[in-house]
Amino acid sequence: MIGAVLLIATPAFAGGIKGPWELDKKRNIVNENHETAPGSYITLPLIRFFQKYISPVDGERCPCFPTCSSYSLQAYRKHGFFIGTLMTVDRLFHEADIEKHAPLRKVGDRDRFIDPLENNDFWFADH
Amino acid sequence: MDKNRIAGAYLQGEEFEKAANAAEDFQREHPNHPLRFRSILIQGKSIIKIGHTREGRKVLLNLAKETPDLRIRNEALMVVGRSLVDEGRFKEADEIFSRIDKESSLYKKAAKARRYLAGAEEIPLKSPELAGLLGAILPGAGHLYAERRGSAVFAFMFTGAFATATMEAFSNEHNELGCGLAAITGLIYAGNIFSAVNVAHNHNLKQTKAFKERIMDTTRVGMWVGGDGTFMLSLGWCF
Repeated sequence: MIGAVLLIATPAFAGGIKGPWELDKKRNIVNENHETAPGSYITLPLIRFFQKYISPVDGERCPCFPTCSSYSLQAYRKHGFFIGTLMTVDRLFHEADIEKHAPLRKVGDRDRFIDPLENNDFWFADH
Repeated sequence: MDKNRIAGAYLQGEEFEKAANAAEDFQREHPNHPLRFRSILIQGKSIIKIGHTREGRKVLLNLAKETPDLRIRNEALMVVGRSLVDEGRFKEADEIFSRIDKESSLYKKAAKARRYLAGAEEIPLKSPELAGLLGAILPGAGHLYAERRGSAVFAFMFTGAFATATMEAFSNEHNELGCGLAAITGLIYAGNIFSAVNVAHNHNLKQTKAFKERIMDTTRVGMWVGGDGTFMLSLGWCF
């Protein structure tokens, strides 16, 4: 346990870098000015915490664009807690075989499967 | 005369609003000019391209009734048919394509499109309701029905793992933990049903889009015929 904490914490003090969470500048975080749907205030800080502190340590593993955390943030903001949660679960499930169903595009410095929110709420959302 | 050519050039350059305005100006300035019908065709096409499909189709259907020029009439009908296909109104599109004259150079394309349209009811669509129901009965089954095997396995294992953890927590009398896990499992289970419905909708969208694209490719009108007897060829390239 102590070893794991040290393993995570050590890079934070190395080479003048405050921590891996500084890397979030490179990441895709959705527009902060977007109107937030009611009921999503509990989950948004959790996702932001994940984006800022956990994801940089875990590495860029999500093959999609927007990344699952950004997608989830958008879903909670647009549809609120319940539908936002359903859409997040849906994304985690259909990500498993996304390579056969979404176009691959160069985003930043790597190829990603394009799967925006609009591709999954077009059949029920009011546009 | 020049405004009509300008409108045509705008249409080719995909400046649809300018094309529609230039064509309208031409009709106002030359109400009895023989190129008036060509101008209305440009206007109708432009209005459809702008996105006012219903208005554009109305303009073109009136044109098809009024014009004595068969080439213009058939081209107008072809554009109306394509617009209806784009909106998924296959029966109406078929009826419009059937009105294209046999003597027209567009007839072969229209006939081919009609052959494709005859198979519209055979598009392999999935029922989102059934996908949701199957997902509710067995997590992952809805995904499997919508031909998403990878998602199906993941949905089954993920939901199953949380359900097992919840049962284990309750059987070991960790009731608080069990309640928390039960709430999470409930959301995951609901997400699994939502996901099954969503992948079925996406499957249908993909299939319908492929079907439409095949008809749109078949009915593409690549050459713009000038109304004054001149031919105007357009060259397009992708890079």
